[in-house]
Amino acid sequence: MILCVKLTSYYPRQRTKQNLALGQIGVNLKKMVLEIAGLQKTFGNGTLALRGVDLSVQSGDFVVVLGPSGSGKTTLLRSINGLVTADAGTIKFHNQALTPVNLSRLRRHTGMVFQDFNLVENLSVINNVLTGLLDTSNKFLSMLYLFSRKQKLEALDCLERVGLLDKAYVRVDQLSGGQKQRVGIARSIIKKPVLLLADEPVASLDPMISRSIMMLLRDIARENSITVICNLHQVELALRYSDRIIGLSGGRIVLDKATADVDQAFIRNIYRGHDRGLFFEHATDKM
Amino acid sequence: MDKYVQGSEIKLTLAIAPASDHPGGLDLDALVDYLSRETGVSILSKRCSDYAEAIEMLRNGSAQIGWLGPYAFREAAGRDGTVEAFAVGIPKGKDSPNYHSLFIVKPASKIHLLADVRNSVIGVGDQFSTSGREVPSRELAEIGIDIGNENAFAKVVTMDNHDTAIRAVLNGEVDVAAVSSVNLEALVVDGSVRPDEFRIIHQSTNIPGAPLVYTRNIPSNLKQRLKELVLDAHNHFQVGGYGGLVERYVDPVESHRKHLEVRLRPQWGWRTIVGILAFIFVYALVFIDLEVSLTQLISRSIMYISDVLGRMLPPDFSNFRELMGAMVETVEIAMLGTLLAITLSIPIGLLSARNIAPNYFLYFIARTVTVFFRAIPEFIMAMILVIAIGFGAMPGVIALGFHTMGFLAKFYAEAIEHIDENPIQALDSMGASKGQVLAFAIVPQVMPAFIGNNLYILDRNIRMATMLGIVGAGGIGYELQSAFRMFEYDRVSAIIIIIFATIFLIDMISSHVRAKIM
Repeated sequence: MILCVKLTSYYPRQRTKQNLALGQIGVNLKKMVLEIAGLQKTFGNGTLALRGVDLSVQSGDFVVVLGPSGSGKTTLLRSINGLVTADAGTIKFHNQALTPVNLSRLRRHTGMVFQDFNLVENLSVINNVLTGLLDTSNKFLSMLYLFSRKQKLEALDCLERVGLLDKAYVRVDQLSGGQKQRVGIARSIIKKPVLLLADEPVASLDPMISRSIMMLLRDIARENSITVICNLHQVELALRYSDRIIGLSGGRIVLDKATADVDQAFIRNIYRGHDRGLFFEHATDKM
Repeated sequence: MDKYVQGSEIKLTLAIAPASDHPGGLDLDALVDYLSRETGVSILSKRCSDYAEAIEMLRNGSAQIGWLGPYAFREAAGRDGTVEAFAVGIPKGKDSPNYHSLFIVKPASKIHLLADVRNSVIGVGDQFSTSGREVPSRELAEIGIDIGNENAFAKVVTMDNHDTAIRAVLNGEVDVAAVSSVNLEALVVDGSVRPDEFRIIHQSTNIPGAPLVYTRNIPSNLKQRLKELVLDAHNHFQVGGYGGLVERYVDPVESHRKHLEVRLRPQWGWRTIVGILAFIFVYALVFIDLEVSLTQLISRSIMYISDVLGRMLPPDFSNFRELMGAMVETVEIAMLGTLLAITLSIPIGLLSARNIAPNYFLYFIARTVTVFFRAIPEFIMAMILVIAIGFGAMPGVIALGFHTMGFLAKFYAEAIEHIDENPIQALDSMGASKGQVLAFAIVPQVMPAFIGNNLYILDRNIRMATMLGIVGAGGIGYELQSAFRMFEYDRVSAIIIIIFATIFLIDMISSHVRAKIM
């Protein structure tokens, strides 16, 4: 039953050039990672998903976007990494407006964690993690599943950080849900992203495992100065693990506060009348 | 000896985190003497009363070297890299610096599982202790217990160090304590604690070993010298460290890499490679045995094919009406054969699906029947039937029907075996009969496969039916056969074109139907 949270290793990672560069970004007085202005999206079937969203995210923040199903959370997240094209508005990543041309630059520095894990079930755990490095790998050799020793060591290192080093050569379909999401996280951090987008990462997991996955995400983000934007519908998890909460409702931002300044009653108030899909988990231990 | 900064005498202070309070648990004295002697720099050891003090000393510069727990090290290092780990000790008799956090209780305690620690008096380390606080609190959080929550425990007692925590359990001051495996083993080894005095209820995951660190205030040549000396110390004397005697000190980054390297495996296992080689070997033998020579094949075929093609062109469509009649007959044979196959294979398919066959005997019979008819080529079946029934369409229809029944039944059975069983459970629980379950839970699920397979078999039967005429079972095959016999190759090409056009048309229709239905 106990899914071990592997203590993320305490030793300094070997500093690569990229790491140093990222470190500098982190030191530079909380640089803006993402600036979104006036984002709008209407789907073909007439659904208004986003009605003018303005949002700035600072480097190192753990931002939770909270909202019931259909509030536009997923569309917001998907438009950030270009899976959805917005009708109007701008997205700036490190002060550069996002265009189809420099989308690949953003994607190179962005990791994504999915609700349903999106792993290749009948590949081994380590091969799934290595897919996170495909964009910078040799295009031909990687099609034969051949990776460099350094890349494989990085994959093992990431697996150790998520506590799955012992499962490296097991097929993903042999793992439990919580373990699968750990593989998903390892895959998303192997390329040392600046920004991590997590779309309902714990929606398919039970409350206890959800907490340990959120804890892992937060710790890894802190340790590596990764900015996280995480969609959730569980208020309790948002309050416990985020630095900042963005409340989304009907495609608009209705709340934007540091988590410390948010109280549950207020959130409940916001979602009054349409709180279907929002869960207030009653933890066994009162916080 | 060397001076590391010209004109000034350097004094170093070693801040030691409070993991243990007796020399058997944490012994750095010999190492400090050795370093001091070899570098000519005086080193003062300072045993700190808590982890925070050690961290503070290293960060504010009052200590330049230190021994910290892994978590305290991370706190001290921060993001700016003020403090750097340069060596980690491998305890005597071990091969890795990794250790564990253990939850221990008295042997007679009622606590058996980690979950039982709720509402007990628990002893933990201070806020920066790795195996006393950080790791145990995570392991508890995994099962939904928050160590920071006063209500979850009768009392949470913060211990000075692991040795006090162990003694507190033995004395009954606390019910359970989270302690470092290194301390516990050291106490057992030197005899101050007997193995039967405690019971371990939970062991954590691996914790990376506790490192020796230095700050960036030290000149880099001195840093390098210190590191070299520590990593080499085991060659000169019996080194001590965390856990008493230490096998040797290793570079932490190096040691972590080795720890990962032992887990590297080739991307392609030997089984796959042997498999590929065996495949190549078998096919090489086949090529040699059949005396296949690609060059000859190509050079000869160029010669003959041009000759044959020359005789086939232009196609002779003089008896087009007759040929079309035969083609229509062929399609009719295929349609009738397919209908026969579908009718026969529905019951046999149901019986040969493992998950819904009523009993093993019927299942076995059904499987045998399908295998039997799949094994006899329709050509042979048609030849026998032509002898038995006589020339005409019927032998073709029956041969196709029975042969493809073998296929369809197998396809249906496989589709049924792969359905989602959950709706069946739901219907069973609501008291549905077997037939009702079939109608509501099985049929809708296998419908797409049913239609797809039937269309495929129809398509296949039309192609096969064109050939059946060769053995006298009706259709366009008969025309083809006679054209070949009379060496009328221009008529042969006309027939081939008609067959191609028909099959092309049927294929278009069936993929259209498939797209609409599925």
